[in-house]
Amino acid sequence: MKNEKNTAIGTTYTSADKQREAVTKKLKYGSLSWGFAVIVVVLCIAINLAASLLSARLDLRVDITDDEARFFTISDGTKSFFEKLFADNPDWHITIRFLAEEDKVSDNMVLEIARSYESAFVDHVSLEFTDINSNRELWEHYSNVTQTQLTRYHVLVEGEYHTRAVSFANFYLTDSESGDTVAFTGEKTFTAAFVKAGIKESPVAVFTAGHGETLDNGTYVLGDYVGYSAEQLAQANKLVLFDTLYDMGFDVQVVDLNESPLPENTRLIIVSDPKSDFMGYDPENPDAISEMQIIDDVMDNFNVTLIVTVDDDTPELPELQSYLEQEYGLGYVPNVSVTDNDRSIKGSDGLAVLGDIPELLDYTLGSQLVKGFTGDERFVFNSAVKLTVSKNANVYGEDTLIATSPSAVAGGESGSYPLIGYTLRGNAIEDEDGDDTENTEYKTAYLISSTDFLADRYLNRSYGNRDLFESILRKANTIQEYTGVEEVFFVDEGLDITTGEARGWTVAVTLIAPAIIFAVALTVWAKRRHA
Amino acid sequence: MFAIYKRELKAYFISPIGYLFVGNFLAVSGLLFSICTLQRQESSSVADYFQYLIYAFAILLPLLTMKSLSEERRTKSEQLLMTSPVSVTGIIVGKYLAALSVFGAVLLANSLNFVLLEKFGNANGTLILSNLICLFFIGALFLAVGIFFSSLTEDTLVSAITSMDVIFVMLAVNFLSDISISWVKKIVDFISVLARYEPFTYGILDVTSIIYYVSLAAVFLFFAVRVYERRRWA
Repeated sequence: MKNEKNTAIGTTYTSADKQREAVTKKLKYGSLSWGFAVIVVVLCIAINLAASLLSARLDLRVDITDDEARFFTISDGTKSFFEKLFADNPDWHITIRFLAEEDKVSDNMVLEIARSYESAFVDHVSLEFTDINSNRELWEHYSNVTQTQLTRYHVLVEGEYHTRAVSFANFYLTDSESGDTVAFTGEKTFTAAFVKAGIKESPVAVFTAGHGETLDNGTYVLGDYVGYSAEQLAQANKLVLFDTLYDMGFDVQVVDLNESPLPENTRLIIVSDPKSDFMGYDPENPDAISEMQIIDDVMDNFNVTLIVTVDDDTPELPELQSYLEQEYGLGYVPNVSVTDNDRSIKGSDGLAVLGDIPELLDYTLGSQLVKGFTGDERFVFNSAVKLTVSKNANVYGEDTLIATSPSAVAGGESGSYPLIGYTLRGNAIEDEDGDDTENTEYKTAYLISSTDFLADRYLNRSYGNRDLFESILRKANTIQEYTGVEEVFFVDEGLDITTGEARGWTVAVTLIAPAIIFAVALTVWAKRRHA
Repeated sequence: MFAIYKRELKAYFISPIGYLFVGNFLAVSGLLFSICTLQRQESSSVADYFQYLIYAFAILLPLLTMKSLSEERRTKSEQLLMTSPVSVTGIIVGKYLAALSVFGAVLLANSLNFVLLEKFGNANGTLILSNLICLFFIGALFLAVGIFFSSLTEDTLVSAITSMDVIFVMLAVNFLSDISISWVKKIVDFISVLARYEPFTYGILDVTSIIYYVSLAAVFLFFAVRVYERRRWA
């Protein structure tokens, strides 16, 4: 029977064929039909579940935003930066925690770029969603950890050592004049937060001592605090300057360079109101400590910022002046005061000069430092000394961050004088083969013309001094320049159309094309009717 | 299958249905486009326009599919089709592809409106493209729904209204995502047509969403084939 053949309609059937046909018929419209349908539905669900699961491991999304500036694609620079970091620290793990359930995260752009990080660094970055509104204990826990009043508009970046809270607003760049959101800084913000969260020790801000350095108009002699721990120093000093440094994530130490080296994780060196010179290199005594060399060596580690404050009382300090001039093109003219009777604090006899942000600032640093400023801020520089900011072949960029109005006078001559000069020096980071990558690390120096710029009375919120100082600290405590990540600007979607034009085009797009189509339809209908 | 596809495509334009669909689609989408962009005179952002257009699909697309199979059944011409040397799958897919072609062509023609945004402002081409791609797949899904319900009845009106209802339900599912029961939310997010659309609104082509739309459309077409298979041998 097995080999029985039926050739009735010219086709040869075996019993196996018959069996197969019977099953097919059953599947198509017989008793197994419903089962077959269920299998197809289950298969569809399985395919979608598999795709969802796969998308968590593989990036199944294609970013088609503008070629030049993709909003959700991690740049090659950032990738190579983290790949190197993760290769050196295989246990590094970052959790990006949104404070709402996944579908309730109010900022999809931030969520998307977070997903991109998760996909790009599968073994090192993961996403979590925690609804803090429904869990008071968690809210309190994370608020305490981050020292931030958390809302669902924050995202947490949890590293091995720190947890950083970043507001969604920090992922965008706003035009200070119009208030419009002009750019997305997702990659930049997350990259900076990752590094901050993953770094074991807080960055240290070092005040030098041993040269008569003082703070707050001579009230605090820094030499008295050498060797204090960060906690002791915090208890001993209730200066706004110190609070600002702590708030911006720095530990503060006072170091006499003759006695101890600078801490390994020094990110900021502040020379405040020096009265005597630093030790330089002595060719006759090459074993002697060169304080300038110590500072220079640390600066050469890059990602270190030097702030020097001087005033019209600062004497000639050849070693310090020479270092600042040669390395950074920054200088001051000892004992030459800058005064401004037209633009200064009332009652100060023109001594407490008010500075402005110059219109043209070098984009690489200056404009980023003052991007949130309206231009109406008052920056106070009491007893300011004349600064010089000169072109220097060694440096990447130099500029005047704050300047006087043209009515200022220095050394008998009126004009606009720099009140804060800054310099940026870059260094291309090399890859494992010794070739330059697109990543650059920077060291930055600021010369401030008034020691009172950082005094308590001017670091209150009435003046712009504190905001500017915070901005400088933010830059000093970030690796944003490190990876060369830029913000991605939105397309300007403005529409310039008059009411009349809008009405006219509304009629055109709504009526004309459909009218033509209906006319053709009528013609076809009429032709067919009378055919 | 290609013969069915050609026949169906031709049928759209020798009867009023194709013209009605194209005319109404262009009129409705043109009006939505004007209201969301030109009339506001502020921004060339098309986010709102595409959102509203998806809801308009719920009414417009069943117009295209309502006659596909029900008309054949009403006029008894389906018996000719059933006995033709084309598989049921071929018939259903041919008709579906014809509807999809008309829809795709109208969606493309409708995109001419965006030239106005470039004329008076600055159209974000990539966002428009990603939205259009997703709308095409959503439309493909809705057409499959329409084909399935057209296979169930010989009354074109019943076919259209049932399709609209089901499409509205598919869209309304998204509103259930506010429910606080987490497993319900997860299911809702998984099956929501609009939730899957979201990445496309900011320029991300999400392959999992495309797989979802295509697989769901395939399921509805499969059901339509099942309905016809059963009827063929009943």
